[in-house]
Amino acid sequence: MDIVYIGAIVAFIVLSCAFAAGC
Amino acid sequence: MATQSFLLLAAFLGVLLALAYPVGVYLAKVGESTQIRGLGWLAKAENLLYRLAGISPESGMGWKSYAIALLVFNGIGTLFVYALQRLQAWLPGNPQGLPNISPDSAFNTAVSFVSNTNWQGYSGESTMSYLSQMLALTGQNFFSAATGIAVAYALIRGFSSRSSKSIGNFWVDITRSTLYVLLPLSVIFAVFLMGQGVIQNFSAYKDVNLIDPITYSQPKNGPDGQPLKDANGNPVLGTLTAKTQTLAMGPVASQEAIKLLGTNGGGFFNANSAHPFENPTPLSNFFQMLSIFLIPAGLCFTFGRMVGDMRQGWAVLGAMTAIFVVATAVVLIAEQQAHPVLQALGIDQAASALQSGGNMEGKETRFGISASALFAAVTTAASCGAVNAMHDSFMPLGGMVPLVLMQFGEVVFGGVGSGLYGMLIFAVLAVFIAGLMIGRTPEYLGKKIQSFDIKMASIAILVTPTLVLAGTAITLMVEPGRAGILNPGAHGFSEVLYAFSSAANNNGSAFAGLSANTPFYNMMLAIAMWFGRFAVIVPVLAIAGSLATKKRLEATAGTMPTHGPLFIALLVGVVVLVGVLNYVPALALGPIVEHLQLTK
Repeated sequence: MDIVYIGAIVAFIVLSCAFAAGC
Repeated sequence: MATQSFLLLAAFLGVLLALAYPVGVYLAKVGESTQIRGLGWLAKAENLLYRLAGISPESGMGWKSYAIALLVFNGIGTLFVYALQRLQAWLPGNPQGLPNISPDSAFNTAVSFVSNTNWQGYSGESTMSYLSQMLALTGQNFFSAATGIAVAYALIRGFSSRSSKSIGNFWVDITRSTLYVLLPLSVIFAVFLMGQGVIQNFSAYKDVNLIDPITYSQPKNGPDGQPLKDANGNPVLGTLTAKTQTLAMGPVASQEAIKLLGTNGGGFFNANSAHPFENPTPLSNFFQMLSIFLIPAGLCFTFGRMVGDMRQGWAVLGAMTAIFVVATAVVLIAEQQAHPVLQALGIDQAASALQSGGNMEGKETRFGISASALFAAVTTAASCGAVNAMHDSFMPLGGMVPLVLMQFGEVVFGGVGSGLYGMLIFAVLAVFIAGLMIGRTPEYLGKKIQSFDIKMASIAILVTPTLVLAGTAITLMVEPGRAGILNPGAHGFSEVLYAFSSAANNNGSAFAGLSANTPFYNMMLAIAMWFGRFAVIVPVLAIAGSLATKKRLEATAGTMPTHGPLFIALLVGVVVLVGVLNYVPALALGPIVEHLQLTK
């Protein structure tokens, strides 16, 4: 299950950075 | 009793003002990267950190570079906190031999502490090793607070700079906020708390003999672990006598100080600031409340000083204080009322020399109604979320006020940094609305507020209500969501609404009847916490970057003044109106219905 939650954290970071880049 | 309550509120605001002004001036010096007299030794440590990290403190960042640095820093922090919890059983600093934390709980807690929420689905003393408490949770208490201060600095620079592409350097802001502000204040406050009786040790938990052994009944279980029942189907009770009690120990004071100063709110113990080892005396309680508001109030003066007009800082502080005083008065009055159900049973709930009176369920007798109600208003006006009384046990209207204060977006003093930048976004919206009414291009502090700024402000303001209302609706539609509710009916709805209001606005307090340490709630609330934090910070930094590039215009006869009572009233009106428009239907289904049911 660790991979699921680590993946979720990485997804949060990537989504937030994409939001910043696309503002 | 009412007189005592309002004297306490007046004393609290008076002492806060006296302390916040010098702290605000000091914060301005930290934000302007000026040398601070007497702290040259800290400057050496600061420069050493920059050299080790390969950072050039003189180089500025555009808003996107600033935002990416902030997101990556906080993302790495999240992974670190997650990993430490998943490995704690094999790491030192674990005298109780506590096991590793489950993946879903570790995930929720990591996001929670990084986002300055400190929502706690777990019970600290039975879950976290001392190492996890100190290195993961306390560490993030510093960094999440410093992140908030950094964003506030960046937005202030957007207003104060002239035709600049830079809004500062994130690494410098976070280093200076931690080194010059949060660490020194925390050391001073931790020592004060130890003087009041807050514990600070690394001992194993202690079994102590009770002064009076307690005899109690408990259902007996069969060999299969299921409750035994008699011929009539009633549970078979066994009589037990307890002669000892286990007292949890730990390095509490060092975590307690930053928990409050950083508006983090996550307690070392499950009972948080109601626990006598976290908050032993009425004096420690008074200073805990002060420490929650100290930096958020101080930052108003920082804002005034950095934009070169202290009246602007006073105006923001005035708007925050006006909302706070009204909200606190409602909680104080609601909680001092006798509970109608108990009143019908003839139970004496009047205030007297021997009792606080009012609704004392879930409150500590050493704090009484006044200090419990004020703490509740303070901790939810700021995005702290520490509690010295159980909000779930408040009267419907008394519990609605903490809910509404969070739903206003945590801008009434608010979190460290986040309260100021949240309120300044509302100020941008207020001058935009005023501009529409008088037919002028809106300006704030000499900066023209244009289309891009308003679009970003709208995103920043609408992110949290979207997360709260969508999260609450989805949770109530699915079985894993409904399974966590303790109370049926309106209060059960309020438990879920409170959880998402708390998570998305990064508060962290709860209507704690909700059983939220499940994979479903841990994931749903983590989404609300992360995006409630960072999907607001990104548009705020975008506004800072946009404003920084603009010229600063001189005020003319047609410029709307933003430092007088008219603007304060407009700002309060905008905050309240946006909050009301977003949340009144939901509040009507929860605390308002509950109040009507209770008083019918």
